[in-house]
Amino acid sequence: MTDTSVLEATGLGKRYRRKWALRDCSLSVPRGRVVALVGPNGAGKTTLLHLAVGLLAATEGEVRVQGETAFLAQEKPLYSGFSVAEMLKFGRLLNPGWDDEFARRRIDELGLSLTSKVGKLSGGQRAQVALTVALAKRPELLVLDEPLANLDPLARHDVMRGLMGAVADTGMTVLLSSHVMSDLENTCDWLIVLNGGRVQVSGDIDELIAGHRVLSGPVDEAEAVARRVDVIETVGSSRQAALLARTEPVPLGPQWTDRPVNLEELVLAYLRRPDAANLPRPTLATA
Amino acid sequence: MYWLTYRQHRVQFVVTVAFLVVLGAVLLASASATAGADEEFMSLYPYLSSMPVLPIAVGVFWGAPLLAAEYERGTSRLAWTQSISRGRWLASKLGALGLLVTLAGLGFGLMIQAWLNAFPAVRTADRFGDMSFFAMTGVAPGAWWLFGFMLGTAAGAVIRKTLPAIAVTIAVFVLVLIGIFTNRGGYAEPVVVPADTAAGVPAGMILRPATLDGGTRAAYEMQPSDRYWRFQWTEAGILLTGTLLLTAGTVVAVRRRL
Repeated sequence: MTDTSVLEATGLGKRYRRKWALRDCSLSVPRGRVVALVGPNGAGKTTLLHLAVGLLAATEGEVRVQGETAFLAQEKPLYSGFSVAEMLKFGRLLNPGWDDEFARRRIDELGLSLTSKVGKLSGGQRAQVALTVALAKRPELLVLDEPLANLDPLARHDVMRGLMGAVADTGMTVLLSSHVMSDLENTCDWLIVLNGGRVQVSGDIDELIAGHRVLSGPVDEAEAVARRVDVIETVGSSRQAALLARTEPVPLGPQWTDRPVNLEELVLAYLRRPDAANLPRPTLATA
Repeated sequence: MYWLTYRQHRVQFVVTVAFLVVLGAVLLASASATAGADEEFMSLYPYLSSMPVLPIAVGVFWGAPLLAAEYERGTSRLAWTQSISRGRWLASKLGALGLLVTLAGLGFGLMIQAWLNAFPAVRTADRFGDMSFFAMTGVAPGAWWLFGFMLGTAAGAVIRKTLPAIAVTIAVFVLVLIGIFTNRGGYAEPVVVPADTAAGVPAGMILRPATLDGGTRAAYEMQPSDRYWRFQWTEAGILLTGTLLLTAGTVVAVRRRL
């Protein structure tokens, strides 16, 4: 494992009975990044995260994590009969590196009472308590499985803001999964696309955006253009074609225009083409 | 970990202690009653003789939810992603709760024994000849309670749902109870004693009628009373072997599955 990656998977695979949930997965999560793990439902996101935090044992390959890891499962499980104070005590007694002052301050800032029963809190408040328990472990890597699922828009915003505040304070690495791209566009700086149990894209989001263009022009010239650039996806009407391509800006015919892609277009284009891959070059993997 | 174990299971703990206190008070009152010993003994006997099934309650309330409720509520994913390992979590829980359950079973046994001691003249107040009292005195109740607890725990670990785990716990426990009660007489080679002596029926575990002297003399096939402790340890050994197997199964299930 290199000094700059906090999580590394090599040939990782998990099989449930006959079906592979994840196969041949090799990736590295660079230190200090906020990594978005995206993919359709059933792509193996949860399986990958559970393997990373040691909840599951790999069928083949291995995954290694450096340093203290915290995990927030999708349902944000807490003991519903416990008070908030008892949830913090749970974290303190089970984690040597627990930062109790931070945990109490965060609960106080959220306007929550230490004596409230966890089971009586709203979904957003529960998510915040669960996030507090994860953050107060002072992890180097925080893994979150669909952290914003089942939250109303206001709670989504609050949870994301709390998370980003903690990242800014501590510089920890975050790996979070989601199938909602709009949640991630402004918060994450590294993208991993998982599709059908395999890693399709892994890279810096700014570099990915800069490395792809949408080229538009007449349909009858599209094939000629496609021979010059690496086309991920072609869409268009009977006369006008739009090619999402992995390319620098290139000189094209007068009837052609090109524009930058946005993250959502990019992800969707790769998801529709499971055979296309954009994985880091060896230099990027350790960058 | 001990705080967490107590916090999660304190209801079971409090109810069990309360049950033992109430039972102790009832037994004490009964033992110190001055009325006719036979009537006093028989007034409680029907209730006490059904108490070998108490470990079912231990399995249902202490054992089955221990892992199944964590799986059902998803809190296993919380508990097993803290700094302390899953193995240590399980060892602490099984160790602490198993010890408490065993002590409670042994305490229950001591109270039953003390109550039996108050009726020296009542012939049926026999800890060896009566199959219920055998399972509720000596070391047997500790082993029975621990076995019930681990049976429930293992069922919860494998099935991962509390209600079906409870059903399986009850069914398996009843089968084991019937199996052990019907085969207990075979823990040692029985002896044949004549039935027509002046002393009447000899003390001990009567198994079946037999004959002596070529079929001319009525006799009993039986286990004499002085084999009580040998039988106690045999029964405890059988149950503890079962408990160990169930513990191994629980560990395998917890390590393998999410």
